[in-house]
Parts: sequence; structure tokens; C-alpha cells
Amino acid sequence: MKEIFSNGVLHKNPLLMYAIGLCPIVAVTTTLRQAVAVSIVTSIITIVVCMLTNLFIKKLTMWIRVAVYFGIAICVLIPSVWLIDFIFPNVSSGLGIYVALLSVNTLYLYRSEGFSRKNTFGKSVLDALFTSLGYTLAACIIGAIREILANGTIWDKKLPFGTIIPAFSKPFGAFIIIGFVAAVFAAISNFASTQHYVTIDFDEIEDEADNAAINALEKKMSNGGSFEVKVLSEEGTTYDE
Amino acid sequence: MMNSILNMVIAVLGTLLIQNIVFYSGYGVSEMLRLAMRPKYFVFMSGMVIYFSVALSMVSYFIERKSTFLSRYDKIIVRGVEYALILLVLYIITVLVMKYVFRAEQQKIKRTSIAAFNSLVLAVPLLNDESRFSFSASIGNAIGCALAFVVASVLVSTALVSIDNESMPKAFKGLPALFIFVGILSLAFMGFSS
Repeated sequence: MKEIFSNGVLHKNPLLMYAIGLCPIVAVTTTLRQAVAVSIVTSIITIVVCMLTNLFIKKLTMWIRVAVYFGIAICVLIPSVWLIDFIFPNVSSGLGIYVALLSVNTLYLYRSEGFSRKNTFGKSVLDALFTSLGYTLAACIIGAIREILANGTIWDKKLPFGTIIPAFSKPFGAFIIIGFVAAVFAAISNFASTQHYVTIDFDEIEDEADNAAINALEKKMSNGGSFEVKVLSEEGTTYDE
Repeated sequence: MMNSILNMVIAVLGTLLIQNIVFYSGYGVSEMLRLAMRPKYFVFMSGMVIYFSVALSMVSYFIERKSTFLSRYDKIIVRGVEYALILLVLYIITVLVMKYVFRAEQQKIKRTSIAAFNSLVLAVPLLNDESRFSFSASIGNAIGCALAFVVASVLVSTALVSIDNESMPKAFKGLPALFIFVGILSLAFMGFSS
């Protein structure tokens, strides 16, 4: 549970470490209140899709699964928006067309395909909860910083600052703030990480039967701990497999 | 006829050059970054984004004329759901054709789902609706939005080499530096539009 929590919130934060679900964050989370509204809708959709994936959908073929995820997201969107209207009147109307676009937020696709369909129901729900929590945390930090810098307020309450920079309510301001917040999260993740990263170039192993890499992996495994294997793609960039 | 073509060209140029919709409004930015980082299926993905944007825009044009009795906000949600359902049907038809007619490989079908279900594709008919575009301008806007996505991917992928340097603090390496680079590009495109 601790590992699922730390991965969802910090090490594999979907927004800051994988750039997932950026569109509404960049465009409309100019205030903390809007960030909370976007995060609640996204989280509800993600949790429902992940739960249903684990219970019913995981045995379908990939392309049908994706269509079903999207169908569920469309069905969950309207009640989620009603809930937001009830909790924060007039906030969702300020989100414009981005409300409708929350149904194509890739967060649910990323967790359903990456985790829910391969694990138990309990783990799947926990993962969806903590990944959504990580997304919400990142979105709220970004929304709060933008609101403070661009409006001089927090949760619509005036702060005693003389200088405001309205440009931070624009998308370019959001990207720059996301960059700095992502760097802070990366630094904390590096500091707190208990994982041992081993990068293996499979082409190299195939060519020379690279015993050094295999020995290093075995040595790390004998010391315990969790592992993440990163595969080098043809272009030389690494990505999780 | 000439007027329609002119409308289409103006819409393409406006969305692509003056107001690059990915940098200016953030539509499809997650998929754009992922495509820039993994360019193996660049041509295929770009083609698919153009196809879905244009096809959804064309079909949606005829739907949008019917429901005019709702308030602006309700209309956005209802039409968003309508367009999402059309997109779902388009995706299923496309995958069936790819799978059984063209015998496409699994990876391409996987990429098709990423190209179809992204915020840029779904945003196009909603933007057409907001701007009350004519049929030809709707298609022009769809092509412009999709090309803006392609241009953004190319620009970001060229930056990947230059932001990978040793002098950069470790925490900024990779995605954080890329976010800041995209922010600067976004600022530049904002300068064009204003």
C-alpha cells in the first residue's frame, strides 16, 4: 500500500512525471477552486473506470477495452459535473468547453491499461485513488500558485501582495509553473526514492551477452527492494515497459 | 465554391500559424509531448489526428444544427457528449476497417486509440460550434488544429536534443525542462496572435 501511495503521489505522479491530463490544467486551472473542480471530475472518472475495468472489462481485447473506457467516461462525466455544480456553484461554467473535454482525459486510460487490468480489485482501487490524489495534489499546487501570482488571491480571498502578474493565468505561465513544480517533485522523488533503477540495453545483451548488466541486476535483487526495468527504445529514449 | 475554399484556407492558416491551438490553448498537449518523445509512429499518429479531427468535424456539423434550445453552458456539455459518442462510433468503424481490411498491426491499432481519444480531436467540433463556422470553415479549422498538433510535435522533438545537457540541474532534466521550453514556445505563439 505504501508503494502504491508513493508511486501515485510522488514517484509516478501522472501530471508531473508523465505529462498526463495536462490540457485542462494548462488552460483553465487559473484558480485553486477551478483546480479542485477539475481534479474532482477527473478523479471520479478515473476511479469508476478503473473499478469497472478490474471487475468486467479486463478480458476484452485492447481496442474494445479502450472504447469501453471512453464510453464509461462519457457516462460518468455528466453526474460528476452536476456534483461540481452542487459543491461549487458557477465554477464549472467558467471551465467552458474544457468541461466536455474531461471525458478524454488520458489518466483513466493510463491507469486502467497500466495497472487495474493486471492487479487485484483492492490494489486497483487503491492505485486509482492514490493516482487521482497525486493528480489532485499537483493540480491544486499549480492552481494555487497561478491564482496567487496572477490575481493576488487564494480561494478568492485577497492576499496582502502589492504585485500581481496576470500573465501567469495564460497557458505559457502554466507551462513554466508546471516545469518548476515538476522539478521540485523530481528532486523530492530522487531524494526519497527507495527503488533501484537498472537500465538495460537489450540490443547490447543480445550482441555480447552482457553479463555485467545481468550480474548487476542479480546483485541488486539479492539486496531486496523493488525494481523498475527501463527499456531503451530504438531512438535511445527510455520508457517504462 | 471559391468563397468556401477561401474560408477553409483562412481557417487553416489562422489556427495553424496565428493561433497555434496546442500552445495557445493547451488542446492535445499531453499527446503532443508523448509523440515528440517517441517519434517512431510520428507520421501514422499525425495522419490519424488529422483524419479524426476532419471526420468528426464533418459529421458533427450536421448534428449541431438541431439542439439550439439549451443555455450556452448546458449546450457545451450536451454537445460534448454528443460529439464524444460520434467519436466513439468513428473510432470503432476505423479500427474495424484497419483490422479486417488493412490487417493493421496491434501497435498501430493502439496508436489509433491515442490519436482518437485526445482533447484536441474532441475540441475541434466544439470550437466550430462556438465560432459558428460554416461547413468549409469547420473543415479548415479541423485541418488547421491537426496541423498545429503536428507542428508542435516537430518543434518540441527538435528541442529534446538541446535540453539534454550536463550543466542542467538534475531535477530539471527531462520533463521539467521540456515543460519550461513549451512554456517559452507558447509565449512566442501568443505574441503572434496578439
